[in-house]
Amino acid sequence: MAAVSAHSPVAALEARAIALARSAGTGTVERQTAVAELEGAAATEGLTGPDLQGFQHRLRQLFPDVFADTPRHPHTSSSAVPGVAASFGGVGGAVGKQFTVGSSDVGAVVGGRLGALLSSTPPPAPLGVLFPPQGSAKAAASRQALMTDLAGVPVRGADGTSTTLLDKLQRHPGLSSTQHRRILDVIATIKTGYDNAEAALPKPPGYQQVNWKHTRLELDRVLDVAIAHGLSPTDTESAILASAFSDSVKAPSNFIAHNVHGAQAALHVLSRSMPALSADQLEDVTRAILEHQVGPPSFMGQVAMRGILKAKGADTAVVDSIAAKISRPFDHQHDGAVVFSADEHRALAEVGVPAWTVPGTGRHQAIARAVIDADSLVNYACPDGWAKLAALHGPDQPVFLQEPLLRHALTSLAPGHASARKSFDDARAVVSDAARPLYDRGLARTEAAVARVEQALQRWVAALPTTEVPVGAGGGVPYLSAPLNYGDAVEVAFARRLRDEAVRLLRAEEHQ
Amino acid sequence: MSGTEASTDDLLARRGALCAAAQLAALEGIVDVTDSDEARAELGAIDETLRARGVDPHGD
Repeated sequence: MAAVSAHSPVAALEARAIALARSAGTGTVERQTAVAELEGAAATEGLTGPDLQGFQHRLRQLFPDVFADTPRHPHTSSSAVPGVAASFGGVGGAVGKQFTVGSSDVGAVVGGRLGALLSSTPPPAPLGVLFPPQGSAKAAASRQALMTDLAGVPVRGADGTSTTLLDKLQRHPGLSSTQHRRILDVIATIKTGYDNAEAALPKPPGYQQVNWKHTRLELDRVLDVAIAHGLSPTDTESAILASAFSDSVKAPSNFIAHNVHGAQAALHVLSRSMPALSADQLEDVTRAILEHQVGPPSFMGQVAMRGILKAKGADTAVVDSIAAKISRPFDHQHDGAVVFSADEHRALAEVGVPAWTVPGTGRHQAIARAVIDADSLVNYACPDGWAKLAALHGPDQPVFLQEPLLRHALTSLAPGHASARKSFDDARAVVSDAARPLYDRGLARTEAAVARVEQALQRWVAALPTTEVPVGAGGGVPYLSAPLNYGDAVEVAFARRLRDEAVRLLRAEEHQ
Repeated sequence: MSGTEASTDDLLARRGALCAAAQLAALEGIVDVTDSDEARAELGAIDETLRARGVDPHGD
């Protein structure tokens, strides 16, 4: 480290690092958190060049366990990236605090190009905690564990035959062995991030594991969508990486800004990936992540954003206008972001959303659309996605989701309630022309699956002892063929079992 | 919105919006803006008005 004045920022940071190295104890999470905090402080102080390199060297000395086996490489050293803002200010807090996102060259170039990487909504945990540096031994173990995991996921290959997700990825046309290796390494890091988030954020339980399962299915779909879009191998890799990062830093607390935090995570992790991505490719990945949160548009505008703004007491007319604009992401846009009035910007700033990125034009356009397509396919055009929604309706759920029949939650288009089919229609508005045939075939497949599940449920009911099957209105089966009486405990208990069986059958249909 | 002055289409649309909000909150684990006595009362009033008009709130 260069000689510094005892009162310089570097000296103050070093003193803080020494104190934290002592006070953080031996706990892995505590020490990773300390390093992340110190890296953030260095970025905030604007350390660059020899000062930054010296400080990083000191961190390695003070926290050797955190940096164990971390490869030394020009692209792995972290530095502040001007123009790339992080989000430790809290909702309504300061916008524009910086944090460490990557190498001093590629990261800085990309950071300089991205003016929209802003949020004052805090991430659920520091990126340094979710994605700590991994040594080569740990990285190899994580990659092997991931390969075992993906080899256990049955999917349909590009030719329609049954295979595994790992095989489908490895056989995808055009991807090189270097790309395969990098994709696996990065997704393994993301998987580790979900595990770390689950440990750091115990509520709601299982949330991050659901995110991981979604990520796996989305990987399957993005491979299909890449072919539909005719993406080059480089753009295919970008779409895979963007898809994988899109929900990588997502929790209830940052739902409305998780796209920004996902983009920050991509810069944080990919800046140290080896071989390094080009600046152009890293920018494409990051922009695609930023733009992925637009769907389903009515949901995001009229439900999510409206609810958050109203809870903050925003003016009704302003809320209406913002909700309408977000509900139509292909209108009201300029340079990949919705154009808001000054009043609208003020209201959005109150809820930690300085910008609402939407699919724009440019080199990354097809990549961004592929990510949105894949996300829509997983959530709303496959049996597994509908199973997730079926589980949220019926007994023990909010009164708004207590419909008389199971099918209401799935296939109904009735205006008075929510359903999987209505969400499908909503999300279809942001599905690209290239992927729409896939999306519509997904609906046909899912509706056929629902029909088979209903038949299987009738057989399941017929096989039960008659004493276990209450008689509903008109002699029908409650929640299946007769309206469920939510005031009848026996009917409700039966409907609970029936719903569980329906969810199980729908999930099994995913792999038929 | 729950009053008798609103059209049936508007009431059904409002009902659908409340249900969509509840579904999104459940799906994403986010704060449920419908988780309040006020929202539940609004739903009850909508359903009562619809039924008084001979309309099934769950009808197609």
